[in-house]
Amino acid sequence: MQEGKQIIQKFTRRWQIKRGLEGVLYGLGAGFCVGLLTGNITTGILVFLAVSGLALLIIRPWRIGVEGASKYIDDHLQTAEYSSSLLLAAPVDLSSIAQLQKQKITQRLATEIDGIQPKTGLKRAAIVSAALLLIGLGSSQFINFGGNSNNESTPEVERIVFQSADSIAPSYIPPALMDQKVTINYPQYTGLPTRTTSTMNLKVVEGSRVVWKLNFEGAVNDVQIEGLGEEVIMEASNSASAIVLNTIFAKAFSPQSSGYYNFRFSDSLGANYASEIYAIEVFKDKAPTVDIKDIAQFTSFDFDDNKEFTFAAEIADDYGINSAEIIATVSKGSGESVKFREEKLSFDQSVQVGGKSARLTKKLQLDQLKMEVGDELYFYVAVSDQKTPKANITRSETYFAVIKDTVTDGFYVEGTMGADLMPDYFRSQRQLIIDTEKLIKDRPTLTVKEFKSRSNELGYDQKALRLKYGQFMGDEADSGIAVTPEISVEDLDPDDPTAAYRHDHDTENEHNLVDEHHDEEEGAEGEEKSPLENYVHNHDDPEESTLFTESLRGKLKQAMAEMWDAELYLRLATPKESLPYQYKALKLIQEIKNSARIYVHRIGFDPPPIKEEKRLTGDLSEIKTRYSKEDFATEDAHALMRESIARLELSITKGGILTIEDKGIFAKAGEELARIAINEPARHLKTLQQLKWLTEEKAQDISVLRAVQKGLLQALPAIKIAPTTRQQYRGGLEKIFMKELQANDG
Amino acid sequence: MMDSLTFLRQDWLLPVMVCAGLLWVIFLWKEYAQSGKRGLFLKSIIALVAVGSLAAMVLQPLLTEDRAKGVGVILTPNYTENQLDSLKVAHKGISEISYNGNGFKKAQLDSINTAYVLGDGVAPYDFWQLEHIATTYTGGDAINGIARLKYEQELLIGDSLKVDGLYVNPSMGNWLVLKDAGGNGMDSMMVKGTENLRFSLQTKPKVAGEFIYTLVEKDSLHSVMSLEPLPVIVKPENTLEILIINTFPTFETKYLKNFLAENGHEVLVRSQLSTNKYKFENFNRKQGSIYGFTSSNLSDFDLVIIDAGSSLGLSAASKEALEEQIENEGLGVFVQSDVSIVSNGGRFGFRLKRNSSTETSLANWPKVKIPVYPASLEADVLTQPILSSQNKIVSAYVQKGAGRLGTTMLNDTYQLVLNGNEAVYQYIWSTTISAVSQKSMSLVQWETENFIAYIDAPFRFKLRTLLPYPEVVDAKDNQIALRQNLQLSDEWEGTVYPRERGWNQLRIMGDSTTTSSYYVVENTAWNSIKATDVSRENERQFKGDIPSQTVISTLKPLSRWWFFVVFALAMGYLWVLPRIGRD
Repeated sequence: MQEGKQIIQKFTRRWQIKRGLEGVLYGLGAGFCVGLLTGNITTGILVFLAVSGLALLIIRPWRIGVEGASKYIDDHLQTAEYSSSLLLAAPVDLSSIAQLQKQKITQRLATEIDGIQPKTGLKRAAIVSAALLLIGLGSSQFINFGGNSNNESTPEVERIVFQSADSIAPSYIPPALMDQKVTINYPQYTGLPTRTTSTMNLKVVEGSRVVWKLNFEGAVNDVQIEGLGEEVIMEASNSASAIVLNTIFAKAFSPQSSGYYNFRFSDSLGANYASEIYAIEVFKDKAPTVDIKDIAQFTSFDFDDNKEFTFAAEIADDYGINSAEIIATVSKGSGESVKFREEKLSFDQSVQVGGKSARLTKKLQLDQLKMEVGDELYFYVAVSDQKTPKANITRSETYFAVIKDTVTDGFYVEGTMGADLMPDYFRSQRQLIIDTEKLIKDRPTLTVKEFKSRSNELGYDQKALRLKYGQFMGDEADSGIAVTPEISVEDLDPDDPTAAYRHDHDTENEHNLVDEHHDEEEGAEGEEKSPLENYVHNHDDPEESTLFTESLRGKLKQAMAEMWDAELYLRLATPKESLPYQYKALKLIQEIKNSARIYVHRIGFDPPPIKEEKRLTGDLSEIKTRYSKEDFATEDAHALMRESIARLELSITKGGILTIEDKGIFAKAGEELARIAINEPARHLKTLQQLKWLTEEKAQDISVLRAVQKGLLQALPAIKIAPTTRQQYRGGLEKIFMKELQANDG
Repeated sequence: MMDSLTFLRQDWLLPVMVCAGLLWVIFLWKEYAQSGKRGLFLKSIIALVAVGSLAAMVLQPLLTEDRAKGVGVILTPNYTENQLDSLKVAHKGISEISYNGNGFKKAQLDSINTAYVLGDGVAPYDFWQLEHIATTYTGGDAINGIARLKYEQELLIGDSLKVDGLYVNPSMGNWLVLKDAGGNGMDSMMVKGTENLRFSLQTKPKVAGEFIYTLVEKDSLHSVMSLEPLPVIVKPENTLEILIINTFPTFETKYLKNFLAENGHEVLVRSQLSTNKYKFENFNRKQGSIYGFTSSNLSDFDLVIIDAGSSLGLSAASKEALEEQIENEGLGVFVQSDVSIVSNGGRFGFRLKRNSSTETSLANWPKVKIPVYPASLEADVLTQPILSSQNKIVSAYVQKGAGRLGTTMLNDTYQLVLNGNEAVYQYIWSTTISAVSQKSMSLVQWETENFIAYIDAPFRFKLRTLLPYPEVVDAKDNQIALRQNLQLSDEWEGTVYPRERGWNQLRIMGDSTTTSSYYVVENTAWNSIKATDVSRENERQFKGDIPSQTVISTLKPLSRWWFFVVFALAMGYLWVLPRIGRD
């Protein structure tokens, strides 16, 4: 028989435990929810403890006492007859009735106490906790808090799968890979942080350093990385924590070009294992880009313009710009006296070193560059990035700014000729024609005197031009078609009717266009008179001059004759009559210019001298029959891939048996395929991988063989059309047939 | 009446006769010993009858019995129930014979003299069993699927594999896909209507070897409906030995020789420098030279490319040797044309028609202009076009005996290379050179009845060879019987019954170069084509006009009771006779 007090106490304890459980349930729900969301067990436990503690503090199950419990029993159990408190009282304090009542109640309670459910929020707590758990589970599928980059465990998907490479797979469980890590140290200048990943397919910037680290569960003999150009043996780096030797292997490598690699290790018992193939893609640091805005490629300013302009340069680089500057070159003068001055100018804004893009402007003031009329400014923008050891430098296109010089507009005979045969300054025939036409047009507005004077001036220019051309001919001023000696001003007859129309300084050598004759005579012995001396073979006789070919000479003479006539009519103040001659002269000069161009090409060939005594003798004794032999390398870059396909077909029909010879060919075909796969890794990587497996000792399934064949066929380029021959059969029937056909063809 | 006596136990005849004779002789001896000569003759006759009856009981003589024959219906796959029902109504008691491609049992056909074939038909190799039965072929359900197929099974690398076929009762929206050996789709076509569809699929094999391409039919959801094998044999390219003779070096020859040499052919170029002075260039071959042509020095070459000038300047002996080699040995000669050919093509054996065009273009590259001499070649029975453009033949060859003589009106084709149109250049010269050089001769020519062989079914092949008595063996060196064609002594014919799936080989004994491969599949492959072929054969074979026997005479053994009665009577007489005689 239970003591009444014990019954109440037991009930109280039950109540307390249930309330306590309620708090723990809240804690569990919250703990699981947070733990799943963060993926971190420690956080989960901490949250569980915190929430449970908090909940318990609020619920305070310890505050439920026996008195409270007895009151609760009285309230909820009618049969207790509000007397449960009697059970708690000491027997000495009770009356006999009360003692009787106590006994009665004790008996009742002993049987009915289990029917009373203490008031708890257990149900609610369970629901809340379950809901939290579900939320946690659901969210963890979608959200990945905190990332796993620093997580010790490698995701299953990325884990390197090693397969036995031996024909007989070992019966024991091979050493498992516990951890794999690749650390990519990008070059300093890129500013990219060092990245650690467990993914073995890598994309790295040129110059990066890659460190692989594999941690095996058991001891391993050696680990190699294959396919990096040479066989790279990973070094065992045993930390103090490694109990067994040879479990952690690491290797640093700087890949120079894109390629494929795989791991291979042999365990302590000598069995070999190889991994799948992974790709390393090495991409180059791109050169910066420059785009110059707000300015035309060619800008020109007049003398009196405000000689300044502004332009903008938009520059960008993938990893950061180091510097940007304007390289400006000012050219002064022309011809042989040209002088260049190069200056480095900075932009108006300073370049932010390491910035990925910038828009820079520059206001250029030509006056500040000490440019004068006729000077030209060439400038371009050079941008360099931070790449080490050798930076990528990009130059923009060259832009021009010119201050126009309106004074020195000249013309040249022919730009491509070795020598500029044209004198520095004189009016061209075309200009003469233009001026003559203008004169005719202006005639009504001009006075007779003015008209005649201008016509005479043109006549003079025509003469100057004629004399110039005469110089090319090697003519002396007075040879060829006679140039009438000018009447010196001093000898002028005051009654000379032409005097009024003559230019004041209408002398033969007004602008020192032609060297004075007397000068020539003076220096005749000492120095060369003609600038053409070097290009002319024989100057003694003007007729022998080989500067121009004979027909050219003729043409030039003719042109001079036309000029002579033109001058005549100009002098006679009848410019209209002079025009046809001028046109003829112009046409001839154009033809001469054109043939001068051809002439330039002609002098390129210098035939060997012909031995006169050998000419036309018909002696062929030195001409001999010649033999030569050459073998064209007709190597097919995919020959072994083709052979592999045929061998695979044979092997598939035979049930997938591969010989050692097959494997050797597959290995070489793999090399051929790798060359193709570099350009399209996504398409061919799997085939390359499977082809690699075929070269291992382990027998592969027929489906793998088929897949490789399919992949190889896909990778092969189409066949080019080439001449070939077909074997034919010629039997009696064909012979008779052909004979009949030929007989009837008659 | 019986013409000849036959017995059920014909094989026991001799021993039984001997035993019977012995028995009779013993009887005679016993009788003679017991009763002397009296009545011996009669007794011996009776005894003979008794012994004879005994022997007859053992041997069981057969009697012919005539019976009227009935009508049968042969049910082959794909027959329709309706037809069968109609036949059952028309012919009471018609006997049904089902056929699955494995022949008939004799008893099945014994009782009928008229037969109707329903369904796809009886396999041609079982026709002989129906020889004496008036058979009518009524056909069956319409065949769905690919009914006809044509493609070149043996290709040279670089050739296109072109699969032409007829698709009967196609389902709209379905796809036909040609897949290569690896299963890569190479060409496809969608069925756009429900009418019978002629289709043509094409691909260019990339690898030499024996491969199984497949023709796959897919429905509009791209799930595979059927997958049928197309065995293809791709042979590696052959290299040619080419001799080029020029009176002077030209750019045309320079580019042509480079093109040929880069493709691995052996080329000897002879360009004339002066009288009897030449420049010999050897590409991919041993150092060599050639002056006058003789049969022996020409026999090294498959093709002679000669310019018109050199061709006209050949000595009589050289010319004769060249012609002999063309006519008899199949040497190809390609004449590089010049203006003299245009004006006088007949001297070279070409018929030309002058026109005024100076450039032309090929159909595949209409924008690429090629200079051409102002003439076109005329086709006739012996002149076959190689390249045509705008309905004019620009390249052609003339068949001369075994060899070919070709030329082209195209001019300065090297400019195509310079202008970057290398593909056109390659096409022109590849086709032309390939067409003209056909010297290499095969020892044998194999022809097969079908592109595919079925396991355990007869596969007929024809062999043409100049070998006097060829002996054909399979891969396991089993010899296969050949039958010579009566008219063509070089044609032989044989049948094999392949037992193994996959590639099987036939070859002439002792010569591995003459191997012919054929592909053997399960009976289920290419059902629609097989059904179409069988159905067509049946239609041709069974017209119901064979004079039929209306009566069947079967042999039936005579009941032994008759002999037993005779034997009992004879024995009874012989038993009774001594008792009567005592009296």
